[in-house]
Amino acid sequence: MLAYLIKRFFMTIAVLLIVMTFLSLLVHIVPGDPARTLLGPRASPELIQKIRSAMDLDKPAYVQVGNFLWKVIHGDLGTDVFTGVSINRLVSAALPHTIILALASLGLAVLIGIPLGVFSATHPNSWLDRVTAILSISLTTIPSYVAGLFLLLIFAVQLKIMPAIGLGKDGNLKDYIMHLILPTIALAITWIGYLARLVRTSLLEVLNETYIRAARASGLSGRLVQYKYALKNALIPTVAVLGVGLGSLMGGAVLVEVIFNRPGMGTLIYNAIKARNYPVVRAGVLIVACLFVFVNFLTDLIYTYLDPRIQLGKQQR
Amino acid sequence: MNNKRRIWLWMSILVTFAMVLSSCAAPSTPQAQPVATEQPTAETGQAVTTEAPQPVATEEPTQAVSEPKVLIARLPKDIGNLDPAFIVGSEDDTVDRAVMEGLIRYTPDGKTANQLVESITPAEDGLSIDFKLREGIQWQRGYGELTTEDVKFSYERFIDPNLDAVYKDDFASLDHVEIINKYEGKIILKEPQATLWTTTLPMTSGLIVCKKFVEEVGMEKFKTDIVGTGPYMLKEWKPKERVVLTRNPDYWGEQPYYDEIQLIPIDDDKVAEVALEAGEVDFSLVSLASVDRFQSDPAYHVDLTPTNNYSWIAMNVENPKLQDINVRKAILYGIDVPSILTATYMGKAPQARALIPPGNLGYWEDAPLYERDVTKAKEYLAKAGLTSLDLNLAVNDVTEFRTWAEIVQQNLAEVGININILPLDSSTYWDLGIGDKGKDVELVAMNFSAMPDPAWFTMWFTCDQVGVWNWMRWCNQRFDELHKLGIKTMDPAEREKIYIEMQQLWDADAITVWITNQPLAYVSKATVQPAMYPGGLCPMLRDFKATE
Repeated sequence: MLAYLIKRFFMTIAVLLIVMTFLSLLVHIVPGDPARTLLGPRASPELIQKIRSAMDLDKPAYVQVGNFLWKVIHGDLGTDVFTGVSINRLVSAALPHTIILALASLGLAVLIGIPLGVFSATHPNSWLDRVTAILSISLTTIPSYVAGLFLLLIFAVQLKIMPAIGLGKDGNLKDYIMHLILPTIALAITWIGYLARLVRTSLLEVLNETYIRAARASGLSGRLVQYKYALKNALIPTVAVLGVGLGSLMGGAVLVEVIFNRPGMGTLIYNAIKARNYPVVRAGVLIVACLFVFVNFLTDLIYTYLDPRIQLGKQQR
Repeated sequence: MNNKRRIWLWMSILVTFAMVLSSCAAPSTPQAQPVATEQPTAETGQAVTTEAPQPVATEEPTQAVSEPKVLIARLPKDIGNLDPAFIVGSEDDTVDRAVMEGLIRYTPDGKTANQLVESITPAEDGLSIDFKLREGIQWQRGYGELTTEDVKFSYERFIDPNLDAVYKDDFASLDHVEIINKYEGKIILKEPQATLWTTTLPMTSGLIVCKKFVEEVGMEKFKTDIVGTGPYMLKEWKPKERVVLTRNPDYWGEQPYYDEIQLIPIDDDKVAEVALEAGEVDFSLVSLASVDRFQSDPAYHVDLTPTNNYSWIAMNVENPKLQDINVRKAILYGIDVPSILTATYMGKAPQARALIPPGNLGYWEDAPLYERDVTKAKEYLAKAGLTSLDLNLAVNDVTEFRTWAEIVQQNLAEVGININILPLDSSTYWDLGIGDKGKDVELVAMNFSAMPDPAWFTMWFTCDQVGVWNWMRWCNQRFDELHKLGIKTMDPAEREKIYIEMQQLWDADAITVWITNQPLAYVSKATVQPAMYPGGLCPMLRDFKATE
């Protein structure tokens, strides 16, 4: 296990280095001068150069990456050259909202998607299974931004029973949760359908395994066999998908955050890219990459609990 | 099983903890700490060049017994830099002008009036300006009284080479500010500057900053934290979330109507419109396409504000394909501008005919209107010895300009000119004409905005702006001479003649297809009476009221 953790740590460092180098190179490839965007049409060339220098844009890619990582090691993500505000502050304000949105969506997708999938698998070819199939596929095809717009128009504009934008009043947890509901549904909707289909397929496969037939033949109750023995194994591919899915949810969160005007990591990075605010882009992408790597690592650990045959860091026989 | 339960338990605790943290412990800056000060006795000044406002003693707000009056307004994006010498966008203007004040200001009816001064008098030769401050005006948060030291500091920092202010040109003629005493001073100029009275002193560059505060907090902090003498104080800024302005209880003049103004940065027009309809925003800029919808609903009030925005299709005269004026005239006669206006702005935008829009000094009333004439366009193309031509049209990749481009493409195809549309993201687009790479530009859809002075329209198209903002790469020595003369000329009638001649020179070379002076559509709840700066530059928050 220790060897696995060390290996994983170095892999993480390698991944982050590649991401950072790629981002630094991108600055030189993508047209558009952040200093000009920042200072507007009337800035002198000297001032433009000063800002470029403050962003390290006049230095080679390896120096940019080196300087950035050195600061990161010291807990400093840099400074937003537009406002002079510490990026640590921007990220710490935005990150919790995105994590909460992603986890809430994932939770909702799991809470609805898995029972739907189990129901379909346990009632194969019934009319309810067919209805569930149509529903799941329909949900899978709805992009989160379309769902978001419809939810806003129906529940916030027409019915006026849900808040439309923002995070709610400071310090008011109930208001915060109310502001979270529509974005969560918008982001979860695709995943509900996808998980339902995935769980149905894997559960049907497992239910046809010999050990399940043996368990049934030995007189164990149908529910016990379905939920304790079959579902546990059927969930392994689902967990793998959820691990990768969290990354995709972070991506989807960009559009949902824009539609619901939530100040999260998605909007932070999106606006920074638009303005070519590279220090913020670099720090934001680093944080998202770290999260992605961490979630994948967590997924690996969950595997071992679900399937004891999987032993991390050891060769499978 | 126990391990799995433990994992879920920890995950639940983490999520709950994060939610509580994010909703309760949001970071913010700064907290305004008003200090009780004596209410100054404002005296009516002797206005010399401008009308003097009448400071009115008002009753103390009765917040203890009534609900605070809160206005929630949209900012099209978050603030960037509140330092008047370095502002990034109109959002900074909006906040600055609610918190800070200048010697003179624009009023909601577009006139200039004294603000911090009792009197302000230019010398006859235009080389100095005498001013006398109102006595007893206090800085917010207990930074003491406003004095001529602050005026000197505020203006001279623009010309400080160490600061290298972005807007140093606003004070191009300033030599120094002479302090006569605590309240009286003299602005000494190197040469007359007409724009000083139209776009410097009454606008953001003319705002007086608190010397003590700036020196205390430093330049970095001053980007997002300001202190002024105005009716509102900056209470809080939460990046990407909101800016909160609160009433200055010790304001020397007439108290504003709203106790608090919350400014919410919403980038997307459509999201802002939903927020308006859901009742979460009281005032917002909306797209012209949505105007009819809001106008038909009595719950909203729509202001179609004429602006100093000007849009055109630029032709690069240095590009070999466009060097021949006949080719440019073929394009000019080939494009159906009214169709562009109908398709893009639902007929809500007027057709522009020249550089300076109506309502501004220098508006050329008799400017020619080029109507589409395919036969004439083909004749001009033939005069250039061509029967067909391939051209690139670069556009900022937003719906507005893509629509333009598609109509231009169809129009010019009939003339024999094949248009290849190049949609570019905003930052790439604004880098297109910079430096030598600008030589490769062929046609480009452009949109600028200007302050209410003709020099603001012409300044981008002089010879030294080729490769900077003059993407037509058009250089005319006479145009340059007139531009310089226009800034120095103080007589409005003389200035008018200068700017009309400049537009005639421009027109003679057929370097642009003028499209529109696009109005801005502001929608507010029917209960809100908004106020705007001239040219629709930004909302005048201090003058927002409730409708009667």
